Amino acid sequence: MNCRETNDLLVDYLNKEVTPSQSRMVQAHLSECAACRRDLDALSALEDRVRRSLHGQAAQAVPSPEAWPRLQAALAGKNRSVVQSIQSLFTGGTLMRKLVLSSLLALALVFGVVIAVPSVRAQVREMIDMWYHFRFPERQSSVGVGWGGDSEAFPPYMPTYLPNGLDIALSGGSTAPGAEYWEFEFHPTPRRKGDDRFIRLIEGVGENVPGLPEGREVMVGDQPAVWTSDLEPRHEVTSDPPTPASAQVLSWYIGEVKIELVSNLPESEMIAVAESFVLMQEGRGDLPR
Amino acid sequence: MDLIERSRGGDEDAFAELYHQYKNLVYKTSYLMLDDPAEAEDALQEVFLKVHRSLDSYKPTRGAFTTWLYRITVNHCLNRRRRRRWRFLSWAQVPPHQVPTHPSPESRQSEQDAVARAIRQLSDKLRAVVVLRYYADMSYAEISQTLDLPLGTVKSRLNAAVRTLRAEIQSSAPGALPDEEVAK
Repeated sequence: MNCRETNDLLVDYLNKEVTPSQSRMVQAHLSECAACRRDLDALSALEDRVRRSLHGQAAQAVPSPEAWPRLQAALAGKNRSVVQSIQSLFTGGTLMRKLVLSSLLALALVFGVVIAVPSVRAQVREMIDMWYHFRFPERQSSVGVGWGGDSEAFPPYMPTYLPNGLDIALSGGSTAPGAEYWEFEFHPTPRRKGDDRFIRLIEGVGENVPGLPEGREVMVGDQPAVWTSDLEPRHEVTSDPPTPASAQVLSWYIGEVKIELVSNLPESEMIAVAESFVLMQEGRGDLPR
Repeated sequence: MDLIERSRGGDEDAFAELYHQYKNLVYKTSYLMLDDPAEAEDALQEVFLKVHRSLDSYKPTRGAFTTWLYRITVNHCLNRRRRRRWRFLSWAQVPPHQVPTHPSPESRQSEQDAVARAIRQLSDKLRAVVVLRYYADMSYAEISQTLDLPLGTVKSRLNAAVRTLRAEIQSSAPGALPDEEVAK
């Protein structure tokens, strides 16, 4: 067994999840390879730290005393949801009864949605703290993003140039400790069979946003950028079809904003898109009416 | 087992006892998956509502009660995290009631511990395996049963998680681990 084969088994070996013969082979290799022994020690230390960290976090996490009365109230039906009520209509009964109920429910939903839209909008208005609305005048499209956080989102940069047929399809945001992200995706609009071009754009600000990766160095305008074909989970497109295997990532900074442009467009096109970025000016606004 | 049988039979005291016996398992696991006390508390309620509704579907012959409970808890948290990463179409195409909520402020608190930070940066799938292995102390077979995954997938995910954690900790806190020799 060589170092690579041993290395592939070290985590399972530490977790006592190897077969007896694998265990013997790993031990034999370790007895004569100082590098792999150090690797085993490092992995063991890492596992200990992960265990300690998880148990430390869990030790401080205690459910509140109100959790049980709240559950009791829910169990007693005080908080019975509309969905549960509707579900209960369908438990038991004949097929005809279910069909009739389905039809009535469908009709009720159609009327309910039409009538309730203004009130639903009012609820949405209360739920989110801020509303961002960005326009793309050249492409006659726009995107609205509700932000329910306790602070303003940073204004994102957007491309003013996109290859023919691509338009914004998805937008959103997320936060993690020490990091805030905007995410946008551009797909052929309307979708055309066989056209799998896409752009996924991730913009991050914060101390925990990963820096530029290793890769081929290129320039976006006068900014150093990195080109790589190593995709991380966050680079995967969020809609069907799945991320094409030919996708690459172009990463660079505009000020403190880390930009990642993931796409299967040719390199020259990606650079052209990257060099067209401008700061979105619409920014904070009201919920569209 | 008696507690479960009595709960199945509608014995409210038995269900209360079941809740108090397992509330920490559900809450702490949810907290480790969601990073947020309020969301963990919501998960605690949702999971026990589901337990109450589906106790009849628990078959002791197919595994321990805790494995079943972990499965409900982790699946709930994975679904919750999927909903948390909100995104939607242009306004004209979006039904307004689908506007999602933003992660709560609690999840933003600064985290100094490089290991905790690295765990939080794992993808949901890798994180679930890490929590079950290193917090719940499950074997690969138990994780496989809990997440309904082939054993080989559990192995590959745990290996990927450990490699990711190692790289992340070494890049964010050099020297945090005793030896930084990179796997060959």
